Amino acid sequence: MRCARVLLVVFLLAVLGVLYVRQHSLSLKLTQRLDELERTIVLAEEELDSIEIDIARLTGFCRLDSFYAAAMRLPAGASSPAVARAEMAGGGSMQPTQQPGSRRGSEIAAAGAGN
Amino acid sequence: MRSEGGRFRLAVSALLFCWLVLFGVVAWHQLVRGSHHRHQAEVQHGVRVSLPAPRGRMFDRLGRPLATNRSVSSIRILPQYAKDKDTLAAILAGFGFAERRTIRAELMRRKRHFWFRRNVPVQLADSLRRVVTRRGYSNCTLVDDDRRRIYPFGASCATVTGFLGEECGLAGLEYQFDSILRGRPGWRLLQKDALGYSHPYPSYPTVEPVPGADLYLTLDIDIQAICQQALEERVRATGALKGAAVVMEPGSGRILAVAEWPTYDPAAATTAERERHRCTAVSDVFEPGSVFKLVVMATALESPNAAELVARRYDVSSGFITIGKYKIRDAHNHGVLDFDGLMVMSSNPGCAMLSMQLDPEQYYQIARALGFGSALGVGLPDERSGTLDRPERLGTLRFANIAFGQGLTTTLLQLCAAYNCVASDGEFWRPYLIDSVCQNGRVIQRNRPVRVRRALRPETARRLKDIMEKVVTEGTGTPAAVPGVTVCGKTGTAQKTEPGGGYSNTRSRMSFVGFLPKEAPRYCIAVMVDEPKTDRFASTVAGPVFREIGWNLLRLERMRQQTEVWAAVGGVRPVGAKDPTVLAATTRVGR
Repeated sequence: MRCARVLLVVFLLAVLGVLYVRQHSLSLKLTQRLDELERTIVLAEEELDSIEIDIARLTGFCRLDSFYAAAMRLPAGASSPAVARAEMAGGGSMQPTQQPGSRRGSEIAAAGAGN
Repeated sequence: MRSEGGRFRLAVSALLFCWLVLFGVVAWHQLVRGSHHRHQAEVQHGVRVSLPAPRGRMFDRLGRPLATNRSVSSIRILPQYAKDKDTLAAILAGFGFAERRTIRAELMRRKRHFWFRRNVPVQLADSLRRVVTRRGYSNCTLVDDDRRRIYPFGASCATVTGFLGEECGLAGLEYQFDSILRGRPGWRLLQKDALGYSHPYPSYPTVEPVPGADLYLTLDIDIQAICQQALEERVRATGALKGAAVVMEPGSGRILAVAEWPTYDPAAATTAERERHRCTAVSDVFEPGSVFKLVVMATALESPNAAELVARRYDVSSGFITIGKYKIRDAHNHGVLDFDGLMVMSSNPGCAMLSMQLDPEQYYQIARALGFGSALGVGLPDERSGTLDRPERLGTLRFANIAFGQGLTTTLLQLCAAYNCVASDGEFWRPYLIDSVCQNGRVIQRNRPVRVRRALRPETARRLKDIMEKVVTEGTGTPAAVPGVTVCGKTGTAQKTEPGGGYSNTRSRMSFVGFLPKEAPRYCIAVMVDEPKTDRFASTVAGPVFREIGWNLLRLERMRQQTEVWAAVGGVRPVGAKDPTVLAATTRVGR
């Protein structure tokens, strides 16, 4: 009877020890996972940030200006001053030759540069 | 002989004593030496790592980032611990860092720890970390998390944002506001296991880093780009050394743009000449030339005998006047001029004649009130104050020279602030560049427009506006006219001094400072082009830059208004409505 009681105590202590080790290991894993998640969030925020920067760049006045200047088949280097002169002279259509977005910017730029 | 009971009591007492001693030692170690043992354990089982603070970012007035941070990785190698350098070279070559042979040669050459690559994309570095761990090279290939400063709009506002060195800002706002941008680093204790790997553990102490404060500027990156584009075109066309422009908002003093050309890429700033790191508009002082005639005209209008001075005719038909043994000349013969004509035709002898009728003390007070002779404190490093001599140091000739902008120095920003004062009906507004400072989304400081003083009476400012309008419609500033709006401004051609004394006949600085529209000014623009090779007059060098900037500012304004209208109707473009950019490109200003 006494032996059984001692064995039970030893068994319970062993269970307690295993549970502690498991909890410790789980705690480490969860902390690591939390760190990874935090890192992922930071990276995702940075990715979002860079997309917003790209949008800001693409919709910036000078970029759009040169985009439409190219679409209007003016030389690639001529942007607003050329547009201004054309407008002030009252000549030429100020509409892009195609709908915006129907051609890639590089194609438009290439087409403009050739004229 | 002791009895059995006595021996038993003695044994129990001895045991009890031992237990008490043991308990006492344990208590002493726990209670008295506890912190020491804890520290020993931490040193043995833990490793303290530093947590760098994210550096504060910079934004323009619409919240677009001008300087921000990106997570990157850095790779360090300890070649002395590599079990096979050839295999390690093959692993690294597999990630595309360089050819295997090159990397191997580098590993063989190096004997100690070195930075193999920095600014490596995080995803690539994570893959490398997994591979080196799997193949047993993690002891000699260390992949660290790092951060890199990026400037999304590159050279557009490099002289304002400045750039970052290894640890601190080296130019621009990065340098000036380094202490508040850098934040405070934290640290964390990691648990070290038997194999030497470290793991974060929740109960271990962590001190979170305090991120640096963000700066919100009054700059508008679109306006900045417009100015830079106009300057680049003109500097290239005229073969000038450089050009600079400042755009300010009348009635508030907000600086909307501080641009220059040529500039540098802040991501590769160390390869650029050091001269380029300075912001020309605030750090370069120069003799302003005829744009300074504004001060003499303002002094005349504010003087007690203003009515007499305004009614007078100024005979400059000889093309020069003589003061002592010196002659002050005009480039062209202007005949007899009225008061307005002095500024409209930019007559140097005429302004010199006018200056002789003025009180030097009053001129000095007005020049100071318009912001000359003292730094304006916009927050950029190396801001210069220029020179403005006290009236008692001015003889007749010096004062006559000052009347057309020689013998004193100013910055382009001071000129812009002075004209901004006229545009604001005589009120001098403090120019400012930092709108607010925020930390963790909380505003810790906000700058409001500050009306410093009334420098000129409203009627003086209105009269000056009328005169400056004539400069653009019928005088020297006609190339600066913007179609559809009334522009006020003044040209300035300032000869540069020669090293041996005297003024150069070939080298000069051309400037144009003005504002638009006259009725309710929204933009005050100052332009300076340094040493153009193809032209001799500011009207044909700086005037067109002003015109292009002004024209594009109005187009930008129209484009934004249209976008706001669409946003107000639910963000959906009404059927049949044109794209705002098309409208911007097709709308003729003022019609």
